[in-house]
Amino acid sequence: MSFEISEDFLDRLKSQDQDAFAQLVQQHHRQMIHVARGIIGDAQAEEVVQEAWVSIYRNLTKFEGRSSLKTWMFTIVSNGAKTRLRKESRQVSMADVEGTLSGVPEDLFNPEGGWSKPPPKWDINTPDQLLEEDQLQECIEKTAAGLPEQQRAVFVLREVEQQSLNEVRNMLDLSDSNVRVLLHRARVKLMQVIDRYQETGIC
Amino acid sequence: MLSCQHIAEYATDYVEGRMNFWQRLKFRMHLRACVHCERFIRHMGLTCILSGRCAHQLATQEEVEAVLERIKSSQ
Repeated sequence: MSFEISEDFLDRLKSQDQDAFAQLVQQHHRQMIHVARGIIGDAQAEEVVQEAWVSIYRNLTKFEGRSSLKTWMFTIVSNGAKTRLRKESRQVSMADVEGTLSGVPEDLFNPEGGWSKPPPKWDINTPDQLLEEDQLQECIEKTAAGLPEQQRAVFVLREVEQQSLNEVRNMLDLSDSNVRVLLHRARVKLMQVIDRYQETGIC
Repeated sequence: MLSCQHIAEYATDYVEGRMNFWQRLKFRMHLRACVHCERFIRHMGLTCILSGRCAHQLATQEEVEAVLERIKSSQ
């Protein structure tokens, strides 16, 4: 789970405490890579994020708290990726957004739009209970890792880093409806993994 | 009455509060009458929490050191 940034931790960061900064990098670096990949693709994501960290470190003393620190950091990453994309006169591919709207398989429904294969019951009904299942956690991690790049960027920003839909839209330069479609598809895919695990005990 | 397929397709809009009053009302009326859709929405809520926790990745020590080194060399 993404860790919370306390006032005390923020003060340490602003006074350029190396241990605190290393902890910040440890917590967010991978998520930043996924966001950069969603904008500029795999090849340059690492370089964009490295540059973003330099900028974050240099500007932390000036951080005024108008947004959350996480929003500020991820905006620096996304702006860096978008600037690089513009310099190369490239367009963001919308391939991930195309196709069917929802990601919910149509064969789950009858022609009248009712369920032909209703969602199975889950034995466990709280996140903590579900988290006790190590194999399920692995299934979810694996599925999340395999999401297409844009879907993964939206998913990471919303579910892992807890950014609002508006912030996700702005960071990734996507329309409101595209963000919702990508997020919905990711959620449905992950929900199907849990369904399968609940029914069969395997991914 | 909305169809179950509609509920499944627009579940994220409902969970995220991206519906106007009437859309939300129609959605809720369906959920009160349909045990399968109520389950679908409940499972989606659990999936959001669970997947957010499971998918959070920590950087390795090598990755952290590479970032710190980059900062050092840029000064």
